[in-house]
Amino acid sequence: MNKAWFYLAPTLLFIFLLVLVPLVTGISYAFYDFDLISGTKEFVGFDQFKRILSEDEIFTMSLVNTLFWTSSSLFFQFTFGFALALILNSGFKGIKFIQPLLFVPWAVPSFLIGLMWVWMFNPVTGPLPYIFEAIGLMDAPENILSDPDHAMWGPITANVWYGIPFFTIMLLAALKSIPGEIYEAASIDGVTRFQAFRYITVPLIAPTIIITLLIRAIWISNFAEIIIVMTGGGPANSTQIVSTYIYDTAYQKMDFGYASVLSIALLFMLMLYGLTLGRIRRKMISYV
Amino acid sequence: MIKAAMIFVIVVLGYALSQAMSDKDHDPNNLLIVEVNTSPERTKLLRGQLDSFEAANPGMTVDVISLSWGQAFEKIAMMVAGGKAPDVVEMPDFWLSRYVSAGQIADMTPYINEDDFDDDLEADTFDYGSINETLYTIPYGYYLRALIYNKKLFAEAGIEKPPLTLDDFYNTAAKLSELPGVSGFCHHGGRGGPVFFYWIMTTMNGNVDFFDEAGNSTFYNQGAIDGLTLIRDIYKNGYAPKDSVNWGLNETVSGFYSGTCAMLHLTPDSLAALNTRMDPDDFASTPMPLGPSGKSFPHLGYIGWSVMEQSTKKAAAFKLVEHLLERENHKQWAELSGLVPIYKEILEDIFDEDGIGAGWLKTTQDDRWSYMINPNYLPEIAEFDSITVVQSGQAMMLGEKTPEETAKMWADFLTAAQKKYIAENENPENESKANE
Repeated sequence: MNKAWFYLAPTLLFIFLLVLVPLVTGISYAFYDFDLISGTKEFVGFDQFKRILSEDEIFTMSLVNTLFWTSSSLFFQFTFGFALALILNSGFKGIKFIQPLLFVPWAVPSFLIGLMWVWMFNPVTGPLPYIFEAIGLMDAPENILSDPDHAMWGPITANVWYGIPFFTIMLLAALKSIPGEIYEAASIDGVTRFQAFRYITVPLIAPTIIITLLIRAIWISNFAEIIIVMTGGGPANSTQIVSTYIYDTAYQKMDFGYASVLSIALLFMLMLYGLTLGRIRRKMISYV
Repeated sequence: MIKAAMIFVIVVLGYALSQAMSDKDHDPNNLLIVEVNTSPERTKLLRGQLDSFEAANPGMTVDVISLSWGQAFEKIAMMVAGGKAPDVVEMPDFWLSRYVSAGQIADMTPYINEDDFDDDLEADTFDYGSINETLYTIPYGYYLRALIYNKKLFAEAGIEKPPLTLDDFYNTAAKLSELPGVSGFCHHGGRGGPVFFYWIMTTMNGNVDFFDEAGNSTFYNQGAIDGLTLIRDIYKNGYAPKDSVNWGLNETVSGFYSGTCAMLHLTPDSLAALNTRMDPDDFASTPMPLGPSGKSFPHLGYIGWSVMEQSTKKAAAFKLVEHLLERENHKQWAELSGLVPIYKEILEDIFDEDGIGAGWLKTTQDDRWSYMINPNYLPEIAEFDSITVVQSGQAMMLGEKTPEETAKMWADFLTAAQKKYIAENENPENESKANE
């Protein structure tokens, strides 16, 4: 017993120093009125938690926006990413040239992505408003980023473009790992293509699907750069998500204490989500 | 054993490195300057001026760190919090109070005084950089606002001269908007845009002050509410592009040169972007329109050089600041940046009465125009300017809040900040100053 702890000690020490200490320090800020520039810290207990629960309209608004931002981005990233993985897995001609190109968006820095799409959506410099007008989505070529009802779709589009390769890479790897013999055996049994997809492909890559969805959802909900660059949370807070709100609070208002309270709220929601999905994952694996 | 040895080596190297860095930190002949509003040309000019400083002070060396504007605020905050503050830092007006109230900016008064500068220095230069009568920064140029207009579109709409009063401004915007595909005014509704609201509110109030004697904000005065209503109506009636509600500087400039909108509230440093895109004969500048009182209060912002309190080489650092602001250097600086220079004669050299600078020149010379300075001494001003007014101003333009509600909200915010400031300082610096 003692020996076991001895062997574990270096690992535990590392976890303690690299994970727990920063985490606890960060959380402790929530109980202080903390100003970074002057370094003043005043203990205020749970005051800032009361503020988030009772008086902060923007937080509630950004919570709803976060849900919308995460679920829409995730849905389209996954759908397109999966479709692309299936196409690439079919092994058509010329795939060697196309495949590397498809992964380019993943390598572009997010600030650059934001800037690129800002200009794409701008009617003076970009083609998108005219395309939207031509296909009847808009009455006139206007900038979607300035319309509070639809502005969120701007960053979502950029984020989908950016995130598709991630799903493609992960799911393609999973698809390739399914032994060909299973499909062979199934085709001898007279299985249709759809049945093979439904009863072989999907169950076998289900663990990958779940884990990628879980990771991406957490990344996306924490992913503030694109929104900060494209809309700055505007117009009128219509694209403010919790993580951009945290950024504004910490680095524009320099209110680290309250930013920490907001971060804790986000952390709890993501943990809850992670636990739920982890449970679903275990269930799905037991089916296979 | 090997692992233990490696760890030992890493620890020793790390220690040596940190020692080496702190040695440089304590090298009395090495200064560190941080610039935040960079461009490659400007960094080159700055480097050249630092080289001449090094040449004039043998043995001294100066290192530059260039931060990109978007991340500069938090990066400097981190440097300061980590005890690695630079000696000289480029300090925008709206950051100043945050750093001063935190005790991070050195008092310049013992080192620099007005007599060290030429006589034609803009009279209020030292006041602008002072909080509570203490000098913390010296501006290296002024971001003064004037109105740019598209002469071609004006001619097409049959308008002979640029608007002189706010009524003219409204009517001109309306008339220009009758042209197909053109809006009258390029509204700057995103970050950086709030000074337009402050201008229209103070100008309609007929009073440049943000506060009355008791510390109550003037933003809830009837004039201010009327001012907000005016710009809201310009937007609501379609005299400004619909998407301008969230436009940043780049969008307003591209809106202007593409002919989407015909009038623009601009600082002179942005003219360079227009000059490369437009024929210089097609646009001109004019002072900001006058309010009902016959006066107008265009916003004047500035960025200056400050010395950090943490610096151990203050005397040398102040000498460097003086060097950068010295006449010849300042002239090069003003020519490159396009900003309104702090020496009046240089201003007249650069801003020509017949050229694009006419609007600025007139603003500085005619009594009907006085500068409006934000209450930069309030630590809350950065938050107010970059978040509160942007988001709630957009809500007002979009019709989610009335101008009156919006004015009330802003006034409440400012009044609270001002009263807190008065309570903390027995002798508060008084509001904004005019350039009479």
